[in-house]
Amino acid sequence: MRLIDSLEGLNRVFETDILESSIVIVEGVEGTAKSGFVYNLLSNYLESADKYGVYITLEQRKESHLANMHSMGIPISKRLVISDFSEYRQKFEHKTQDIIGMIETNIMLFKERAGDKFGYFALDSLGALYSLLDLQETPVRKQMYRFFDALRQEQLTSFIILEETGIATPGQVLGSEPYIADGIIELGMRRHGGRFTRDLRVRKMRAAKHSMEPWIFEITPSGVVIREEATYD
Amino acid sequence: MMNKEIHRYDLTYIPDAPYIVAGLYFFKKSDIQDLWRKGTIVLTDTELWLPEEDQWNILPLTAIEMFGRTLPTSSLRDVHDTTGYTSVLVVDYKKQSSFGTHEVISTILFAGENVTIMEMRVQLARLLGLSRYAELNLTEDDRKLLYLLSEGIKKKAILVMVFGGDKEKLRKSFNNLKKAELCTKSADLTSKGRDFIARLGRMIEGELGEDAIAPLKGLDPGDGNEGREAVNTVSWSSGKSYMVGRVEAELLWQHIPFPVVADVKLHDMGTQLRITTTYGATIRIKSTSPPVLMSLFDLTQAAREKIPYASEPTKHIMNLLALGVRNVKIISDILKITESNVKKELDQMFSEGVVNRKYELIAGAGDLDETD
Repeated sequence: MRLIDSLEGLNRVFETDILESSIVIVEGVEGTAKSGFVYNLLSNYLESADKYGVYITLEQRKESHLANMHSMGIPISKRLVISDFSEYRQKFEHKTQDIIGMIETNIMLFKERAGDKFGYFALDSLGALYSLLDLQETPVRKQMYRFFDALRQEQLTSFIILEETGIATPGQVLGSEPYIADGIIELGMRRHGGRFTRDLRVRKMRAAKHSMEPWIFEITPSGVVIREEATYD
Repeated sequence: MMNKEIHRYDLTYIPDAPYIVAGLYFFKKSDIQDLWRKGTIVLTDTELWLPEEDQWNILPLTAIEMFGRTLPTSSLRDVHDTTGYTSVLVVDYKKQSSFGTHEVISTILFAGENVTIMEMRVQLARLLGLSRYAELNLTEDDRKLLYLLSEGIKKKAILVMVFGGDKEKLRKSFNNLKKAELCTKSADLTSKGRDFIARLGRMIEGELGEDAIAPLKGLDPGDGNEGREAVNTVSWSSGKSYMVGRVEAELLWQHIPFPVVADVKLHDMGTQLRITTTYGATIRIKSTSPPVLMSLFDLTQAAREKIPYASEPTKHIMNLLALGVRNVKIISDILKITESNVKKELDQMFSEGVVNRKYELIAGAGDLDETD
């Protein structure tokens, strides 16, 4: 099974698969189901491909995240281990020295457990990561290069969730993410046919053939389903 | 991926106990068993990673307030009863309270094989360092004294000896430690003092020489070592001539030519006394009992400086008692103090609880305390 076959309808958006070891940013405003989209995509794929991955949550508690997935009809997979840093943030935020180093350690420890079958990574979210970076010490762009480079070296296919808040974060001000990521998937919410619908648009995906148009997707009792190409006015 | 330092330790642990002030007794014994987890603890140069089901609990090293704190015996017994281990490492750390914005202290209790606990302790000490105590400006002597106190070496006579006979230096260091709240007036370490020592790791032991610590630790009569005979070796050399032999402690004074002593020094952390005479002979006295040498050092130094023993009768009678010389007439002959005055001093020592009726030194007397 390909990654793009893991969500119903996604293989209509993509003609060829997302390359392994790619770093994909999934961005969108609040309520566009970014976490659900990434979790659903990875958990379905890992179950079918006999692989393992880690989903790092910096904002939501693990229990809360799982309850959210459950409410969206997204199946929970033990192959996608949720690493909950939110509690750590709550307890020690002001004492954090090197959050990227911690994520690297986390990845290394999972790799030791799962071996070569560990190949997928998700971070929820980049905004929360920025809030934990020591911007006095090293510029954010340099830190992000280091982080993305580490993910590539470990050959992890990675999905990085970025919430658009309307307020520019230091990283967005620098605008480094689009350049250093291999792919960008935008999730949005628009009025369509008299009602609000969620859609996704692949803005960029290196070495993959894909549609540039927005596609409407829905949260169904069995998870995320991509329905049709949107025809907005 | 990265160049991180990684250490792993297989341990049993309680990951998040309320700050254990007096031990585990506030838990029901049957519950303690359930609190323990087993797993491989990962220590990096910035965090401790504690396995928790399929993920990890992470503790930044910067959150650690104290480590190496001792637990009461009753708690150690609980640890042993519930884990089978006697080696324990206590780590106290600060975290944000779940309610409000204040910080609370929590505790991780590690139990395991002694060698594993020791290894982790050493690495933690190295990684945590002493930076948080930099403002205390402790001298090498202060650190040395704190270390000796942490090892239970509290006898003033022994400590003076380690300080090369310099009582003023010892007093100054003791005052510094009390002022820094690292030890109490009765020379017991505070929690802060324990943390300092834990962070110091084996550094100071290396400086002192591990061989020196063991004999020092065995000197407290309260340890049940009072019946153990000291082994003393005396060697005499001059030019090509050389003699060596074993001598009982109470006869050692007979091998020191007091009137012709040119120099006297303690060497090797107080385990060797070296005397040179005005005629160029060298006398080396080695002993498994440093107080024996300290007493000889005091007596010999007074003789070299021509200070009459009668000017400090109590001190020198104590020196002879430490050597095992308890006969009033012999003490009188050596110190050139009348027998009646020797008797008077001994009676005074008896009334102060320093010696018993047989003029043996009493355990516990002479510890470093608030009078120092």
